Amino acid sequence: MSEIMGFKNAIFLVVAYGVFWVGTFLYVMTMSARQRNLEKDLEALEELVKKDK
Amino acid sequence: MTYLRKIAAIIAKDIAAELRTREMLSSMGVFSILVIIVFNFALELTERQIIETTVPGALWVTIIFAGMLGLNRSLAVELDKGCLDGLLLTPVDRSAIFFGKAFGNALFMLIVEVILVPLFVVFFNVPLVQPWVIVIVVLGTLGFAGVGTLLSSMAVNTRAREVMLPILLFPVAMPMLIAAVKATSGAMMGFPVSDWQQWLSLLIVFDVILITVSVMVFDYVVEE
Amino acid sequence: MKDTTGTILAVVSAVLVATALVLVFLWAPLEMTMKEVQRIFYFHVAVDWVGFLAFFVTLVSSILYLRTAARKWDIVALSSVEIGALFLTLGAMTGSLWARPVWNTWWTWDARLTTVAITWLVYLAYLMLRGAIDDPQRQARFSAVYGIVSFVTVPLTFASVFFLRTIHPALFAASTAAQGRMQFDTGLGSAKMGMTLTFCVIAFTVVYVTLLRMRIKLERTADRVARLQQELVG
Repeated sequence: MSEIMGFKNAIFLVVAYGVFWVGTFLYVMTMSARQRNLEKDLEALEELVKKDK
Repeated sequence: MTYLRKIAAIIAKDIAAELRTREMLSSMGVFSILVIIVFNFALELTERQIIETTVPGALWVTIIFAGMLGLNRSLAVELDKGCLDGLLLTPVDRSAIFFGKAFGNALFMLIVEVILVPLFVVFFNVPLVQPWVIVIVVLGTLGFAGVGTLLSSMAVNTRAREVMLPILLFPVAMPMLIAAVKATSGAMMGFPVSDWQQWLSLLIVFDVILITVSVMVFDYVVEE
Repeated sequence: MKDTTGTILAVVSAVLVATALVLVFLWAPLEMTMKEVQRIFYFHVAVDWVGFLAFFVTLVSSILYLRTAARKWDIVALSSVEIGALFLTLGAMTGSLWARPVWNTWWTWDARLTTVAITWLVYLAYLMLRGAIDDPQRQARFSAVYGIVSFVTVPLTFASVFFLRTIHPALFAASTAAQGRMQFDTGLGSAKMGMTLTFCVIAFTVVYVTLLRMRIKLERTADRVARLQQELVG
């Protein structure tokens, strides 16, 4: 009986850790994407500034 | 002018301004009555026991919502009419301005409560007009008005003015709310003070800490 | 742009978290009543703890910002709130997923959970406040003020709900059990649990620092872009 309970509850365990990974992953991915975009902008702008001078 | 007289002067100015239009007090008052009526229908106040457990909560929710109305208006008016800038130009200590506004707001809340609490007694038949209950209401109002004045002086300078104050104030006022409700409940039911004194202590601690911190940071809010 | 410290931190974080996972699933003892589900506890507590640590970091950097008016402290405060909010969200979600099978409810308003909820609301309010202000100096100042004022109330909230629980009877008999009273088959079991938990806390603190650095770097790059844009326009 307790074995069955243990097994049914395992789904919560899996989902909980899944939530973790998905959550952290999403955040890190969004940050990396923003960082890359900004760095592209930065390069472009630096080019423009150099041309201005 | 001595420090206290400066504070008194600011409060007097607010009272005079309010007496002319009576907008704030009337909207707070009408709002409170509406909330009482809604509570009467929303909560199943049929049995004595249910009434006794829910009324303190309902009372404080009403006070807080009406208080926020008042806080919003009080500082919005300041901003719109440029009074705050005028005050800041005078050689008055910033903390005096804070205390003046905060006590003024507290005073307006208390005026509304003077009408509100008896109304609760009348509509719900609960013994609220007792010395300890009055003490608790005053303490809660002071703390709420204190930190509320600080937060509304920030909120009023943001884009989502009216919405911002509740968002900022609710989480911060939570301990005061819990303590006030529990203390009011204890006092209302006539329990000895020793039964609910930790709530009273918590309320006092909240007031002291929050008002002190608010005064200390108020400078940074109004500086330009 | 090479960022060696950042990469090292990321690698260390990954290693620590991987080790933590191994510890949690293979080394930590099996709890007697809750069985496997209890293993959520390790990451859940670690993440909540770091979520609150983030608040402390915000408090300190808010105070430093008000005293120095240096943008770097504002950046730290903001980044810490964001990551703290992420961690508390994860903590609350995993906590719910643990509560459901054990207490048969998704949520209870006990001292700890309520404090987590209120702190989360404070983080949200902080971010909304920043979003509603355009002027960067005012944005920084106001959020620093709010960071300080709201930090003070969190322990008060905890105290008030704590008093509430000690007076009223526990709502669920199981909830007192879940409040840290877990049973393991040997004394060594409890010790292993303690060590696993500590390790998880350390691992997540490192993760927090890594993410914080990333977020700070992001904000500083955005600042540089904005400044260059200004230069071009001006």
